[in-house]
Amino acid sequence: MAKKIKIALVGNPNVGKTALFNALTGSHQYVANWPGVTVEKKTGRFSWKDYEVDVVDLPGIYTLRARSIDERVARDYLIQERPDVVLDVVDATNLSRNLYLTIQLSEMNLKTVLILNQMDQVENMDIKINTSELSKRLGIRVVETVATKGVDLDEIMEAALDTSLSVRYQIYPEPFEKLVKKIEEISKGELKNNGIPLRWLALSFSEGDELAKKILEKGGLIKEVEKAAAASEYQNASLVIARSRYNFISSTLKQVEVRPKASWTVTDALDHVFTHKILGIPIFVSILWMMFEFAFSSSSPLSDLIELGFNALGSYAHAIPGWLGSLIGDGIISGVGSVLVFVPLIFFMFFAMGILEDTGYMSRAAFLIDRLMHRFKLSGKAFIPMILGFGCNASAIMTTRTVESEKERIISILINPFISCSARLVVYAVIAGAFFGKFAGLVIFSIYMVSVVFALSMAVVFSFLLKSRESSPLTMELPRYQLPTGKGLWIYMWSRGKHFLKKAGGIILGATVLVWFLSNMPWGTSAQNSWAADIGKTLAPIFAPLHFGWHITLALLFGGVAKEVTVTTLGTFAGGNLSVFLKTVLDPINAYALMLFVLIYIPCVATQAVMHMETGSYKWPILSVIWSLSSAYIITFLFETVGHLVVRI
Amino acid sequence: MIVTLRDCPENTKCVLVDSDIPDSLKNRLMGMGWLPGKMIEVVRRAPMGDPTIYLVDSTKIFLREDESQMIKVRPIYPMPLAVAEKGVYKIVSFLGGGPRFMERAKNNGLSIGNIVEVISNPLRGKIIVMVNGREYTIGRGFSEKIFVEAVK
Repeated sequence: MAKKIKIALVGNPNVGKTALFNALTGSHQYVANWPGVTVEKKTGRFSWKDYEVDVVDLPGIYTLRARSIDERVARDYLIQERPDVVLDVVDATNLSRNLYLTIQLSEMNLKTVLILNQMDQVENMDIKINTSELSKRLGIRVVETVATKGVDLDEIMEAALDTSLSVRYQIYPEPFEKLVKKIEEISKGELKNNGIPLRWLALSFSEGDELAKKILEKGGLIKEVEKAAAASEYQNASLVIARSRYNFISSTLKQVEVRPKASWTVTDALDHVFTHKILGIPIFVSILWMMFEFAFSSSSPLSDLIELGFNALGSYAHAIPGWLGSLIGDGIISGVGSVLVFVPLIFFMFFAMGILEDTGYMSRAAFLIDRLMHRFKLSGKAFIPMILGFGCNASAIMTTRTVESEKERIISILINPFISCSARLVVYAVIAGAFFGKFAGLVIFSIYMVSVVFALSMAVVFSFLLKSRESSPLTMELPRYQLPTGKGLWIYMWSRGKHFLKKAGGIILGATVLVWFLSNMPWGTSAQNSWAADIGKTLAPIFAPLHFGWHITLALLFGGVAKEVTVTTLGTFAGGNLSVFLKTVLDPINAYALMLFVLIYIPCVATQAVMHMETGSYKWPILSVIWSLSSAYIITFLFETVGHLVVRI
Repeated sequence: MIVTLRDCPENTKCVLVDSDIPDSLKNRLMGMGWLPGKMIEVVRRAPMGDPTIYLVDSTKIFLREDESQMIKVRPIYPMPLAVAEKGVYKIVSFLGGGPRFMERAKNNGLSIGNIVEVISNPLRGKIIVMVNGREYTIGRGFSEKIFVEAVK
């Protein structure tokens, strides 16, 4: 029989917990070089000898006192689930900060193994760490790793199962220890059976922690504990506690660690340029621009190749007689094919974004434009979901969990769909490619700019409506720059890109078949008289002021399911050549207006579902749909009116 | 002199004294090593003047004006003139100024090794100093680049 054990990975943000998780379980979770990427616990499993090991990767935390949702996820797991072993992952180049959490973990009476990660950096920086001495002083097992390059499973598991060492730090001043003991004493009878670690409870209460207070209140002990605290000289002991912990850490490290004198590092040099007063922002804008140019120009030969392939396939399919040939040729191949052509583009885009994230540039970008975000009543933390929104809004909305203030979180959720996701990129690419020739890249870049400006202005509007006055305080760490690894980039690109492929094979395929069916029913009629045309023509008057014909109307209707379906729907009517077809139904101004409309109008079904899940109410997704539809309509209308006044076509 | 962290220009080194920031943020900062007595180095202000990158214990984090205003610190020598209280100082270095700055400094009798007396420093607006027996008013931006040490 396999023995089961439960292991949790805990540590400061951005120390490599997820990398270790991947190394342990062989899974491919996406890892970035900026804090706050893991916002929920992830579970995995592996077996070692006759052990069946469950691994949980927790969001990064600096202390066990939790404010935002991701921090609470981590703390609640540790208190309620009581994992058998905690692997405390630390950045070995920065022990003095990381060990703070280690002490807290041991106070929670959790069996802890210290994982000294990023040992390669330690060597690079010429830091010497005496691991066995560290282990002796802390009373826990210590394992050195470079998690991004794989780990020694035996070593970690042996350390995790080793029960020979045990810790109980007595690091606080004597009178304070007395108070802690007293609180432990008081709560012992009532709370013993709940499995709540008493020392943690006593210390957290002294720090003024809300959860500890609540637990004591529930047990009916709060009065007695408060009396004990009032009798001592420690009404608010948070400073005493923190200082004692750091004193312990620094006295320990004096014996264990030798650091070279601080010198001008590569990171400092890069930061000097990237965060420069004058150069910083131009560099940021040009990096974004380079990202687009790179994705477009390097993917276009591949896209052309795929398009050729699909055209050939299409003509073969037409050789199949009857409705089947039409379904495969006009429906599936020309519909789904018109989306799949952009697979290289999407992957290259993610590749470029992966480079920015893995190197650690993203937190610098957050630093550069925080002031701007602040003016739009958002914090730098709300910036992370916005950037991730360029990939996929649905998954980006989940990362709003790092935002502390609830109102600000709702605002971040509501504006996220206005950030142009990669699905919409497909629509732009088709339209811009058909109408704007060699300016296509510039046109699409401009749509992205509109997207950012619009999202930010909506943030102001929403924060006015929700009466959210303050953005939550911001502390963001600037990680060391790292060279991205090929493996890391691949995981990043694949884990996000495969979502796109899955959609193409699932919801997009389904919607395309449905559209084909509707456009061929009643059987034998031309598309002009089909059911699809009926639906389109019924709704078309609504869009008549925007000069969108019934084809476009129908495409937009189905595009609400997933934005790419806008393209596949048009593809089914195009009869093989989408850009020629588009030119018959749109002029350049309509075309740009359509891009604007697609940018703003309703979040896709997946995004709506995530909105509901994250806010726990239908109110917000419904508001979002109504809001975005009406603003898309108004903006597009204004653009067309002005556009047609200025340019005569 | 005790000033707020916000008052400290780039390249200032200071010691954390106390803070009035909300408990949640205070705790997170403590978790990152920001304790009274710790040395903070002001690394970089963002292009639009806010936020600012600080270095504590080899970890760089950035904070906004709103928060850094609530954190009290004591600058240590060599400190920029901008946070020097009334007293007599010796100029030890110029940091962060271009050639035009250097020329203006020289014209005002401010060069390395010279003695300068701070007559008044309101922490906002201009600083009045005495150099070679003559009074000058210097702007804040200017005073942030002149680093001084106390003269006993």
